Amino acid sequence: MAKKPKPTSIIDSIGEEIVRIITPVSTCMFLVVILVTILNTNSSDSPSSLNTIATVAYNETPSDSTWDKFKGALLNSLVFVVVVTVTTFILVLLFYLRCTKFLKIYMGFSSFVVLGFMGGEIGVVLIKGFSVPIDCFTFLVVLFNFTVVGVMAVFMSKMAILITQGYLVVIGMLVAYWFTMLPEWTTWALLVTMALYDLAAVLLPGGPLKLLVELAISRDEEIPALVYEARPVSYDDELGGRGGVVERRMWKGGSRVGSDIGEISNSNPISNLESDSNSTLGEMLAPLVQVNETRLVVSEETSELSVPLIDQRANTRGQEDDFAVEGIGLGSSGAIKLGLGDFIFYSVLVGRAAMYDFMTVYACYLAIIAGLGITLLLLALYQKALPALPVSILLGVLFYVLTRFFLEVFVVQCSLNLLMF
Amino acid sequence: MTVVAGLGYALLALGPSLTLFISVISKKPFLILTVLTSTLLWLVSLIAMSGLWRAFLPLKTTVWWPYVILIITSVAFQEALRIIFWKGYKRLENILDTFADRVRKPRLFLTDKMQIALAGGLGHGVAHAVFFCLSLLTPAFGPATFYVDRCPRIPFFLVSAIISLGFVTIHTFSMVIAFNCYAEGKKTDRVFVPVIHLVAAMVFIFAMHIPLPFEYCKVRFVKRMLMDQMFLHPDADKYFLWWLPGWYPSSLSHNNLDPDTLRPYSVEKTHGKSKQTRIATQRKDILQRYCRFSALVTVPILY
Repeated sequence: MAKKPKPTSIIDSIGEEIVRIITPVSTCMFLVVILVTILNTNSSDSPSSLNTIATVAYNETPSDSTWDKFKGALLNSLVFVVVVTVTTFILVLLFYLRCTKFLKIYMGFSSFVVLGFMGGEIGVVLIKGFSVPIDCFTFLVVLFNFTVVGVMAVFMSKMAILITQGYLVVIGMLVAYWFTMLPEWTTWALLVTMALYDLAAVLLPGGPLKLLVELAISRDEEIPALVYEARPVSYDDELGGRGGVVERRMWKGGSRVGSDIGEISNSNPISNLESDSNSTLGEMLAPLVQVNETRLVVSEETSELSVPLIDQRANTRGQEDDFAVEGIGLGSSGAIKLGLGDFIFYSVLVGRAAMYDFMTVYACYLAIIAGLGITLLLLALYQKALPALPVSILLGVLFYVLTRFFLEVFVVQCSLNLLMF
Repeated sequence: MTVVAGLGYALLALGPSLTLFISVISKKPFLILTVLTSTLLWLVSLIAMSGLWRAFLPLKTTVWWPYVILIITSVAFQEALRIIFWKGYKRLENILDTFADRVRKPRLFLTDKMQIALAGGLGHGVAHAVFFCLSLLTPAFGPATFYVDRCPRIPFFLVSAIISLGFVTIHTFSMVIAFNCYAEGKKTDRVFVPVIHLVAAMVFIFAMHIPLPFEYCKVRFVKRMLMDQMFLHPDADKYFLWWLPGWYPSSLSHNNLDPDTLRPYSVEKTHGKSKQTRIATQRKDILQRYCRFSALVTVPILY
């Protein structure tokens, strides 16, 4: 007797895009937390000897007073934001002058440096810490291969999408780990100021990122950037949707091919920052330029993608208010992309929380995911370029402070007296 | 006590929820989002409670009534959260149903609703396990262990892991029961859920304030109750809990656990309804019994 096929319920497929973007973000955060716990217990020295652009104004020492630390941290982050703004404007200029090839090469070069040098450094520390029996030639060969494949994955989009996604997550993880080595107050001040800068740069009329987005839209080009693209979801609708699905796929394919030229180009300037104490300021070129600019939530991409798609759907269905309902499906017509800078700053927040205790890690993780969800909701609502950082970072910092000062004492007290509820 | 022990404690607290997650929830992205949302809400309620109580901590350990007030306020808060969750869920259900109508797919099935309730409850349970057990496990990965005054015979980590296991179960299934009773409007389960929560939370306050002989009597009483509830063999607890230090291991050598005496669970009251409702009701009954069992079984374990 043939079994009647069970009708699929809608909760089988709703929310899939969100989960597809939450998974890599969570993976990156998880890896950074693991790295931080392993590497910070292995070596107990403080990272106060870091000389980078982020500590050019003030180098924190444990003996300073709270007010000094606060002032120093603010100064540091202001300097950082100023440098980032300047480089973002340079990037806009270059994009305006159509130097995409230069940007692409720079991006490939910086991913090479990140994967090769920073990945190698962390690899060496891990080998030392766990006494892995490997000789340096093998290590070099493996590292070189790893780096080259990474650069190719970032350059060409003909690579299997899983590998590209994996490498983007690894790059984000390495950069985020480097950032967690900054002094504590500086890190927190940096996160908050970057969130505010992001808000300003994307939403204010004169902001560099807004200019970039408008340029890209007017030219109908992809911004050369390191963006993580979640795999597009394909639906098999019964009626009406058939034509829509096919067109959807082709259109996305087209945009991907077109974007290959410019897609991966944005460089990751962290490449130039070195984490050992011998580095000099002279080597700090163009810090997080594109990293920040990549923080453009697909928002922009989605706005481009979804506008024609929604029209198409309306044509096939003949319903005007599909758009409003699409808000729930959240980009059921397009893939969500998230800039790598967002990955990095989320992971920095969680990594820094891991340096205090695991309870703050869980609280900050939930806060960031909540912020990401809210941002995606707003994205579906407003359909324009939105900054992904502010909501998550501000929520994360708020939860960190609340957990550290209120929750931890409460939970420890209750647990020790075996009062669980 | 080394990484292995730490991982063991973590798995003890979160093992069943991990299984539940992998088998039921990871298949549907919507349920994953529900779990994350309910975890977040539980965390927010916990932070609110801690904000409220921060001024009064640390508590004195000699008198017991501050603990009672703390527990009562916390449980009341969480039950209020459950009702808020229910209201939010009702609105979500309407939105989902209208969306389903537009996309020309069937509306939410009963099993879907129960799965959403399960995911919500699992979120609460996982939040409890994470914040009350996992976040305190960091010292357990080191070379030593820790004992608390209130329970000096079992390492603190083991105690918190077992209690978290019980509470994960309670939270998960209370949500299912609560949603079911709010949907059907029955009065009995509305009271059952908060009462079970309160009892489970209060039990640990009184665990240490009862003299020893009464303790023994209570254990026998609870064992008798368990037998009636779950048709267990009288010495099953010795069989299941042989690994717990302080429990009597000698009964194992007597081989007095006969599996044939364990009666199978039977359901009599589901005639005349559709197959799905029958399955759903059967599941609900099983869940209810299991929930009661788990709430009660943590008592003898602590003893």
